[in-house]
Amino acid sequence: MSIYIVARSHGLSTRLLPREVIEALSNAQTLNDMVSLLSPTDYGAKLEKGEEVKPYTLYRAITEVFRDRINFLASVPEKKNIRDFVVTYLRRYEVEDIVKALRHLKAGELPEEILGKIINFKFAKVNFDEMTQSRSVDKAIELLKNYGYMISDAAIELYKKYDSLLPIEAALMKNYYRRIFDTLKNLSRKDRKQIEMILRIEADIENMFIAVSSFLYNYAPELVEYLLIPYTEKISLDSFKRVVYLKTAREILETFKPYETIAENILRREELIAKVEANKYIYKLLEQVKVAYMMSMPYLVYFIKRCEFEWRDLTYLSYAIHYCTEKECIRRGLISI
Amino acid sequence: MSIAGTRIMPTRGFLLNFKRRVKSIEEGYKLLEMKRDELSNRLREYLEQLRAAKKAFIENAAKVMDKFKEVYALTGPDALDALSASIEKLRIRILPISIMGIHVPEVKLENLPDIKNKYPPIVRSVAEIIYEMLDDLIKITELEMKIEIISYDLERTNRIVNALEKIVLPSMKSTIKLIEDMLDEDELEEFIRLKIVREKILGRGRS
Repeated sequence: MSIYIVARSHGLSTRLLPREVIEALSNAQTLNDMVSLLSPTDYGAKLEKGEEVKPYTLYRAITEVFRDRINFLASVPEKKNIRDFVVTYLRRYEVEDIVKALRHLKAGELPEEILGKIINFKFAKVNFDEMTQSRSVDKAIELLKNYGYMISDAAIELYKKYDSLLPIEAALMKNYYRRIFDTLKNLSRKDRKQIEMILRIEADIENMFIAVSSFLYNYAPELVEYLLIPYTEKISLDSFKRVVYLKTAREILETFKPYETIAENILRREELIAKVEANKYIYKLLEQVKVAYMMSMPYLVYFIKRCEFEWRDLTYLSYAIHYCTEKECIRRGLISI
Repeated sequence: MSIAGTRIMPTRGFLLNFKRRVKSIEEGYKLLEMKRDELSNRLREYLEQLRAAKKAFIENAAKVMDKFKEVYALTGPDALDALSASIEKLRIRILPISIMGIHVPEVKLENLPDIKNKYPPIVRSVAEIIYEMLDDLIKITELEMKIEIISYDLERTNRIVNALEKIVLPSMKSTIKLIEDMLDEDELEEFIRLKIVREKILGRGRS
């Protein structure tokens, strides 16, 4: 049985940029060339022609298109169980906004400055106006409870001990994963299994970056253990916890064998390349899902991730072209090609 | 007659004062010469230090900047802005130290923010490299500032020393000689006048 939102996302996917366009954009010499290539697309309406283009202006336009797409998906009328899943899934972007806002609050920035730097989706539970008016991280964390974002005492303790927002970020992500896995129970078994697998693989990859923090960057093991996401797929949570205390790259690589290429780059401290490899891995996985689950919920996950990857690729291109990064480096940093 | 705005009077009193003045100017000239030599040596020393520090730093900085640009492009400006905002600020104190009376800055680090346990993946790798370069960056900035201040003062001191050596002191010494010559002439004239008067008086007495 096809689902309305999946059918709508099929329609919207025709508006995504094909690979050839991303390749053409990667060959652009200037930002104006990029704007010219983007003018017949959804981005064209957001870009002012004739003016000299700055990378941040381009970035804001790209982000607006991404925000509009995500807002649209959150507003598509659907049955309660589907809608709950969609909105909960999309809250990952709200969590990113919350973390950004907390970081700016920690710096003591003004509310209006902070509001200009977050995306602020329509479906967000958090009232960012109220949150930014609190003017302190501690008060903001208290306020988050009112919006259903409970931060555990352990996270708050670690935040105070290490003066780091990483435990708060981890608490929000764990909260997110717990909720998404709850809403998945209301989907069909086949869809649930597929989407769970994608989410768990994403968590595996995230955990790989986290687990080596002690070994590579001397992060406190106690903090690193807390940051690990418990929903794993190919590597168990206990294995990740063991990696936190390992002292040799060989042992770590052995544990991360299912994701060998990504792990090698992480251990070489080439985290940028590792992150791109990780995104490409997820992208290839989703391309397979797209074919097998054409008219069911995993296709929607594929579509959302495609929107996200397009946003990240275009942001990357705006700054890489502005900084005259070498073509080879530009192509290396893109997820979609 | 005047020299450098001073009216010259061919009198012994004036000559004595003038000689005293020249002596103090000569002492000042010697001190300025010492200052010039010391500033030259310091400048040479700082230039050597700067050359060595900059060579290694620029090579690393170029690589780090390339990496940073990629990280910036990949993470996005808002996310990276948020990450950098949440770290404690670097605090330095600039203390003036005196080199031959010139105040040059010395930078003291008051607070180097700790980046451990703070940054998520991707950003932390480039943050660590930049963190390790901070010391060198501060040192290079300090050296450049010192060199700029010392060069300016050295140029000024050099000009004064050269002016004293080549114009003022020779001119004053030739003025002293001139006054001495004039005084000698006056003495001789006085002596001959007295001799003539004496002979006239003695001649009158004999007759």
